[in-house]
Order: sequence, then structure tokens, then C-alpha cells
Amino acid sequence: MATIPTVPSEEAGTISTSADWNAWCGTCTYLLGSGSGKNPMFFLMSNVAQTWTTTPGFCNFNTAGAVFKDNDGGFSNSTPGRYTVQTPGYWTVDWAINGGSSASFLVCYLEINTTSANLYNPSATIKCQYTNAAQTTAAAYATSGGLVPIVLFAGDLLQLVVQSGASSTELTSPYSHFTGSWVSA
Amino acid sequence: MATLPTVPSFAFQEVPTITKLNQVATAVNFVTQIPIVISLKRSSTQAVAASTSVAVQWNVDEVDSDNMHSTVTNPSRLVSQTQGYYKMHATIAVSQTATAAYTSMWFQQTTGSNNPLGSGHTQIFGPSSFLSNTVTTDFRSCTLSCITPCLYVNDYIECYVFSAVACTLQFQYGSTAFLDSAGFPDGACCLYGYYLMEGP
Repeated sequence: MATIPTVPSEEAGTISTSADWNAWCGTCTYLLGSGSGKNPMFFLMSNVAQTWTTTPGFCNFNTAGAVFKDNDGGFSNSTPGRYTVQTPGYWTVDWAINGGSSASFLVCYLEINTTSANLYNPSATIKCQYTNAAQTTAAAYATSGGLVPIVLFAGDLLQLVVQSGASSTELTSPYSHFTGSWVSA
Repeated sequence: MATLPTVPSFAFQEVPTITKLNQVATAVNFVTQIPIVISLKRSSTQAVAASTSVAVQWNVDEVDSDNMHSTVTNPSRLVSQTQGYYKMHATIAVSQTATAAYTSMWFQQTTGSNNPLGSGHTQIFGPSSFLSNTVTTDFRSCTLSCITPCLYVNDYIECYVFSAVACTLQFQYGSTAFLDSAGFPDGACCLYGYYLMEGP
């Protein structure tokens, strides 16, 4: 979990301490950096062709995907269909789901599962940012995203739910991927 | 190339020097006024042949604060000058087509010599697809949005379009152009981006 920096305030007549200056520096480093403990962001990508069916299912990702970035420890291969928020705040996400081909349609949306620790939306399931794509003989891609509509707290889950009008399997690369970044406390 | 700020640190009871204080000022300026912003557009239509992947040729630089783009040399490319992650958006509008056809768009990264993978490797990301339609004067548009993989200096990004039948990329939404006060096109075909954070 990244520690959201505290910006110091100064008072007239008070000599700034090294702690104050380091807090300023820490704020800048947090906003600039993509290393561990810095501004949280993730880029998750599948590494296998997944099959979508008429039953809604989670899109899985893997650290072995062609692109992988997770500087806040929110993703684990043991729960490949979710990103677990570590740092509370507002987040923005984007995704592209490789829908494979069929003569039907592909639907995808973001599902947020909050924990009881979420002060504003405790223990809730929120579905949002639906998108769909018409499938043909070529690979259909369902793409959406934007600002996550609620404040997220540590432990909340971000998951992509995919449903196809007929069974279909991801075609050539790129495999489905999911990106996100922390926006504000 | 933008210079990433050097963020200093201060030891206990250290008296800050002007140099260090200015480093802090530079860093604050960088994070509050991101110096790398890109806005590219087209000012004319572009043909897309059937079943051919075509890179959008950006011929208008509205904003290009890090000299990532040229309208003359390889105008399809957005060449990274500063290593890091970027947020990219692109919107493409396609004219009516002879038949309702599969149309897709995507970003593609091509690595340069500074990338640990070496030059010439490609990675597609942020794709989207839709079916074009046959209604005259009815355009369909599509927007891509994604964080890029880490871009090293000289890696470049392109936006590709594929259509199962021949189509035309539009540069304005209506029959009359809506130019902004600076005279730039209305963005029916555009690419926006900004520097997000250093990488990898």
C-alpha cells in the first residue's frame, strides 16, 4: 500500500525543518514515481486465450502477460480476475477485452466489490461502464473505462465481467488488458 | 526531451541551499504542470483500403510540448523523448461504407534502441472495434484510451485502423468544419496524450 503523502504547512516565524522539506520532496516523488510505494498504477494483461460464454465471467490476467506493471501489490496470479485496491482514493481505469469471433455480441463491464471498510459504499456490488461490441469473423474488442464512480478503500475489488452472446475464444494478440491509476485521495 | 526533476533530500538540521530549494521548486512545478502534452489531429480525410492495417497520418500538431511528433517525417509516429508511462486517447471517425463492416483500431508501440527488448519489437494495446454502417453522411467514431507500456526514448506509438471494406477517416463530424479559435479542426480524428509517471 502506498502512503499518500502529507503536504506540510508552515507558520510565520517558524524555521522549516528537514522533515518538512522531505515531506515536500516525498509528495513530488510520490506523484512522479512508478516504483513501489509511489503513485499506484497497474497494467494487467492476459497470457492465454480465454473463452467467453453466455454466462458472465471474470476476465483473468497474469503476471506473465506481455505487459505487466503493478507497483502497489494489487494483483496476484492466485486471484487472476481481480485487482485489489491497496491505496484508497479515486481511481481511473481503462480496458480492452479481446472478444474472439462469433456471429453474436460481446459485453463487458466493471464490477466493484467493496468491503465493509468502505465508508461510503460498504459491502456493495457496483456494476458500471458497460460496453459492447459486435462480433464478426474478426476479433471484436470491447473497450471502456473512465473514472471509477465511487471512492475506493483498501480491500475493494475491481473486476471485469465479460459475457458473449455465443461461445467465443480470444483470437490473436493483444490479449485482453486492464489498466488503472490512482487519481486523488 | 523533458528533464525529469531531481528530488533532493534533507538531513536532520541541514540548512537548505538555494540549489536544493530550487530542486524542490522544479519538482513541484513538474508535477503540477506536466510539461509533456500532445494533441494531434487531421485536417483532411485519409483513405483506408479494404483489409489493410493503416496508420493514421497526423498532419496537425495542436500541442507537442516534448517534440514527439513531426508532420513531415513519419507523421504517424509519436516518438517518446522522455522515458515513462503515458496516458493516451485517440478518436477516429469513419465514413459510411458500402456494407456494414468490421472496423478496428488500436495503439501500437514499436521499441527503439533504448528499450531493453531492443529495437523493432511491437506491442498492440488499447484496441477497440465496431461495425461501420451504410447510412450516407452518418459517421461512426471510436475512442481508444489506455495507459501505455513504459516508453523508452525513441520508442514510438502509432494509431492503426483496419476495415474489412474500404473506408475514409473523417476529420470533421459534420459537413461544415468547426474550427476552434486557434483554427484547429474539431477533432473527429485526434490523438491526445500526456506524461503520467516515470518508468519502468
